[in-house]
Amino acid sequence: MNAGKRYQIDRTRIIFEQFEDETVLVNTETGYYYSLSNTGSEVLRLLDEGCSANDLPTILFGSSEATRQWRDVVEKFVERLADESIITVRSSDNSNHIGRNPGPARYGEGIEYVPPVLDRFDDVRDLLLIDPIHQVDQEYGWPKEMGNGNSSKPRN
Amino acid sequence: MGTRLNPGTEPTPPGCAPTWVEYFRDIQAYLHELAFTSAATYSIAGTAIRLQFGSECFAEQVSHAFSHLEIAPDSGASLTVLLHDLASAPYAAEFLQEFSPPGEESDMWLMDSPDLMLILQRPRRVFAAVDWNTNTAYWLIPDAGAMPYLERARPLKLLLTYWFGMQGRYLIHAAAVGNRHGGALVVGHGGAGKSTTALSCLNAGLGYAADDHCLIRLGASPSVHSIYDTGLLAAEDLYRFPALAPAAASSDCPAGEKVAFFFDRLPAIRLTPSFSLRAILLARISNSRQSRLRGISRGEAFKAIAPSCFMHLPAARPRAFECFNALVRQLPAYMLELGSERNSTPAAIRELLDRSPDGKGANHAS
Repeated sequence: MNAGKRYQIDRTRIIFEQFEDETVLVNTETGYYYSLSNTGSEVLRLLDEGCSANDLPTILFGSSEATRQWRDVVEKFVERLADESIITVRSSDNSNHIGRNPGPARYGEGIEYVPPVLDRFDDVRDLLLIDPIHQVDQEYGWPKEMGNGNSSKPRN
Repeated sequence: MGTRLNPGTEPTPPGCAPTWVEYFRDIQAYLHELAFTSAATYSIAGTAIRLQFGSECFAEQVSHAFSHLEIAPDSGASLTVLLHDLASAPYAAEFLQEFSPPGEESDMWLMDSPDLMLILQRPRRVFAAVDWNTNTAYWLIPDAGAMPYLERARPLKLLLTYWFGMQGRYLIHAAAVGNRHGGALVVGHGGAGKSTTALSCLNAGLGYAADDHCLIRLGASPSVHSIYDTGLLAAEDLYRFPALAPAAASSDCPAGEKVAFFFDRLPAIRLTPSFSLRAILLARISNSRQSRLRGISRGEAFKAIAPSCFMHLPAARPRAFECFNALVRQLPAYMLELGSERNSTPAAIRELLDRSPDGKGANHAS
């Protein structure tokens, strides 16, 4: 992963809602749904505001010893978010550049940092795989047997 | 009678072989030419739905599941559904049999446009369609007499899910029970005890709207609406509900399937069409004897509800998500820890519903 990349939530497939203690995300295409807990919601929000993975440790911990201690944890977490297609690389740098003016650190000085947790649930995905939906466009012909050269192809 | 049907072929250039839509328009015209042998109108979530059956066999297979919601036949219907099989619509045979797209046998094919929604499920060649401009739907299957056991307990589920989703009422995988003070939505994964909870409540004199699938409607206060006059229970649990035995369709239940209850067989039982919702209960089997409730976070409740989004059309999933999100933000949520003393479950739910909305003491509303 290029830690300097900037990301945003992939709203073309992810719908999400933040509650007091966790964020619940649903990938409307794959059937996976997720729970982000501890500091996961905060990391996701910062990424969505335009922070790069490089920026995050400084924003979270300032320049303290903790920055080095947690850098790997945060980077791996961002990588996991990208692997799960929850976040996608920004097509243009339209972020608010929060990383360039991070303000006071969120953790340290008596505020304990609890590593982010991403739980994935796949019970619905199993059902979707059993009964997948192919969407076709209006202009498609009536699908017929493969092999006779006149089958429609699904869009996905 | 009988419009000749010409199956289309390719993703077609304009003016060539019929497209999905053109081919459907042929079958649609044909289905409207056909007579229907009976019809009935049902009020589902406050909306009149008229079913026109192409055969008495079809009516027998489907109508029992909606009998608690039947209303006067001349009620103006918001949706009319034409139900046919190949016995009543023989010229549709080609239409169904020609459907053979690439992919797995169990795939579902969907064409969703502002005017039309067409669905084809290949394993049994079930065809469903909604013409949004005329609010007319079509349900075409090869043989109504061979309708699968579980589908008879929950007929037209896909079609109703999609149609109601467009009306802002969303199917949810949940049970719903209640009393005069309101209802509780019981959510949880398969096997968590939703059906047993709902049937226990019915046995104990509480109202029952659903054991597994119901509709949610938001508004000034959220409400839950019954769809089916049925329930499903694992065969090994039937002995727990001897009073409901006359409603159980045990004789033709396939091995390994849940047994369906058709409550129209029990005149003493009348399911509740809807409840104003008071709480969300997340069912979970516990090791305790007594069932009990404890508060849980909205996030925990939402995780149990969010998967119901996937019962909806892909395009409708974000709207269903918003509906369910609003639901958990408006209602208190509890873990319903199910104890081995079955009677303690309805008692715990009744006690919750009888509390005043602020949670302090008895609710004296009539």
